Amino acid sequence: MDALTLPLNNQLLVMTAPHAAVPMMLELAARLALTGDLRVLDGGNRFNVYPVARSVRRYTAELTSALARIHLARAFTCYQASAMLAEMPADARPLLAIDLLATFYDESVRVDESRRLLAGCITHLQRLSQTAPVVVSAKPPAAPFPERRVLLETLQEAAAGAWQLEALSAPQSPTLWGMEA
Amino acid sequence: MGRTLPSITQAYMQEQAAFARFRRALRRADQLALDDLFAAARQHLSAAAYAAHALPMETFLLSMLLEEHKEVLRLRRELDELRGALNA
Repeated sequence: MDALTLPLNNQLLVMTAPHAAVPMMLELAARLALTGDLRVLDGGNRFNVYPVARSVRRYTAELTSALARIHLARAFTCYQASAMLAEMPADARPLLAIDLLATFYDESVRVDESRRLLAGCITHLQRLSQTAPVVVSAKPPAAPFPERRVLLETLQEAAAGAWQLEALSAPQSPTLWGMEA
Repeated sequence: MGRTLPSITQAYMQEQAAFARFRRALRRADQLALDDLFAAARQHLSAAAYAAHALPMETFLLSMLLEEHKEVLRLRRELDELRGALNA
């Protein structure tokens, strides 16, 4: 989170992490809500308002008005995600797309269909990033579906900046006989 | 479509878990007192769910306070009864 400087530039950023960088995206939503309206597109039903409220409360007592500045839309299928992005007007409000690819990894949708829909989504994300910052988080596909990895790679290639977040390894604690194995 | 928000019981468990380190640092007697406070908050989970507050911990704290105040009222009433019996 500290590496993301606010205000963000008008560009498309993609963050990849095992859990779609949800805590970081929620913290970013909280910080952006302090200063103005923002749009959140939740593709994996991961937007939990409680951590956002806690985070907002740390910065301001105006909790209700800050939360009211977050315009949340949840997509439960990749068709919904695609339609939501297509209908979204390009304005100055930043867009956070949390776990965007979750619905595109649905095995009941053919890979080529997912690719076609994602290509349309990327066009709209780039259109929206002309007027406001767009931050997309995504997770890699589950192990049994390696053929879906192409979706993540396509999204990363289309972004102006793509970050791969990795979990820090647990620090080794010294013992009386040196470092732990 | 699934839940879009954790249930109040999940929120309660998460808040309680967030204080696990605090609890561990307390003396045993204080740990038991803290457990009593969380148990008191648990009694009002349905009201907390109905309140749908953005910061559920505030509702839990108020629930703890509510139970403590009920206890103060009960003790005050008992004290008054004992005083009345002594003066009689």
